[in-house]
Amino acid sequence: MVHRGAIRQGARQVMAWLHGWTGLLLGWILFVMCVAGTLSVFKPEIGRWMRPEATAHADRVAATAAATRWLAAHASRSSGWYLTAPDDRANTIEATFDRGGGDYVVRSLDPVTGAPVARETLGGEFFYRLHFELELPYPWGRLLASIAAMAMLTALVTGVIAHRRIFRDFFTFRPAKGQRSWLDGHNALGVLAMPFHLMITFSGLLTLASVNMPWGIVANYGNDLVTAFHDLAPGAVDRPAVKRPAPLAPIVPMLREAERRFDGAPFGRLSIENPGDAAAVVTVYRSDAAQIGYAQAEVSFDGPSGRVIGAWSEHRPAVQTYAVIYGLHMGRYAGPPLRWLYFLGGAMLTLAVATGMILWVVKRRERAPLSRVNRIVERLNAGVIAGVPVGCVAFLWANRLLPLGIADRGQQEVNVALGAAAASVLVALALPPRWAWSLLLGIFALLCAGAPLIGDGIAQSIAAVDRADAVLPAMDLVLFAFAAATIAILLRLRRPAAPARRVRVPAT
Amino acid sequence: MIVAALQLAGFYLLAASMLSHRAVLLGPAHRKLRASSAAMTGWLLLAVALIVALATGGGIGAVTWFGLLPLTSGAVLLGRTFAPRLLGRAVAAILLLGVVTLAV
Repeated sequence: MVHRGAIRQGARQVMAWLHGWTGLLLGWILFVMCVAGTLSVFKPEIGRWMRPEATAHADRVAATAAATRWLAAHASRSSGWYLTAPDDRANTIEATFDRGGGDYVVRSLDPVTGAPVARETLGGEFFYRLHFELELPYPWGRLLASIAAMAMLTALVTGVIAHRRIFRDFFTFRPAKGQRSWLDGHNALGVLAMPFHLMITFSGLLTLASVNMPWGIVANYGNDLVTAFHDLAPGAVDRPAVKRPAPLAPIVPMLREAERRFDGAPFGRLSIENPGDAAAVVTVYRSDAAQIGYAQAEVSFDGPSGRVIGAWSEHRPAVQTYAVIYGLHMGRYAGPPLRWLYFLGGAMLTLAVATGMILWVVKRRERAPLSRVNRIVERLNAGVIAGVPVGCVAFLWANRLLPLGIADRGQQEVNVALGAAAASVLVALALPPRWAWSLLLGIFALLCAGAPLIGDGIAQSIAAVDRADAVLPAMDLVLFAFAAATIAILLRLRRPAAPARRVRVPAT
Repeated sequence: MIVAALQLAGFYLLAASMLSHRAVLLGPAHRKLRASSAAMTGWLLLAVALIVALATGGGIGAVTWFGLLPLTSGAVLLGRTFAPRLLGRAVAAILLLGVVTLAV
């Protein structure tokens, strides 16, 4: 039995090693992905906060008609308009289009006038894109994100084995005890939400399956991605432009016809290929917010005449299984309470990653003075864990402070966010970790407390309360809560450290 | 609501059945508690919560049950750490509230 015990001990050490290194090497990227993913849960609400002037409401059919009217007047030579209709969460239309030439822009369109809203911003879309593209060019961002997701899955499974006391120590948290507390916190954050962590990591990995496991497609289709796409969406109409101008038929009858074919279910998106051309195709897609698995269905119309030229809905079991897993990850079906539970799970995963990286340093510091590399790790931890949130709130500040109407305003907000995060990392590399933590967390708290107040934020929130719109004041309160929580942490940090009790290095 | 309340009570009993938490949560009364039956009741309550969630919400009910796990177990963890003697009464009150809202 001694022998078997030794093997088990060895296996645990290997798992602990793997858990530590996967967590450390991809931890900073995972932290960014977790923060951005958690915020993406409230993508439409963040968009509403960042476009406070866009208060008009219209139903999805009228709003879509307004949008196509404006686009026909201003982007008729486009190669495609891609529209997401408003629903009970977002009031604007999200539009991606070019003005001829293929330079696509993303704009939020007013649901009544159809024109882009004054405050040009990516809104919550920034966090959503950051979550899986990491602001890197295609396909590198997605590739890195899926490698990080694989590391996360590895870290979750090895974590259960490496931290052997997580089930015996369930419900245990011993505060203000140095490494012990970090370990308790890390274990609790990991194990209490373990089903969520496994679900979100696995399903996230699967959404990027064509990037991280492309061989199935390569083996069956080679480079013929057109056929691959056609097999995935049989019945999708794709036809080239004939270079003969023709106006688009009225859109409203097409939308009504599509919804009739969806058995009354609302449409969610539509695409208009070659809108000003005689071969224009309007394709209307069913909304994905009705159930967990997105039941894909689409109807295509001939643009100039409005006749139905194609319709299909997805019934293949394999694709529908994928749709359920994908839907679980996106959480678009979730009502408000469940959405907050997604947020809670995401926040716990974010903190599990952060505490894990802090533990890496704390554990080594208690054994011996830190090596030079680990001192850099310690500083990078402060820079990333405190700096990325600083970048996120700087994004909100830029949204409220940059003048309206400047060129490329949406991208400038992103530049401010990335610049603030990068500056935070540099500051943390330059300063002793203790100072860097205090400074960056202090800046974060100030930015959070200030974001609802700057610009005409107060007036906007009061106006929102007057028209019984809870989104703006709710987000203000969340920001104030973040500020208060951060200040509480700062006060704890400032308290002199408890006399170090050198006990046996606790088991992991 | 009732699903969350049942989970909370289930996790509380599971914590009370554990050697490291029993005395902290229950004080001197813990000697009267039979650990194995507390654990069994705890698991049973979690299972009942799942059945209720499935019966009322189907697939979304199942997701809600999983989503509530970190909230309710986290509440027991924080309660055990910072207000262990209050926790039992709070859990009982929430369970009562859950049953009342169900009945109304």
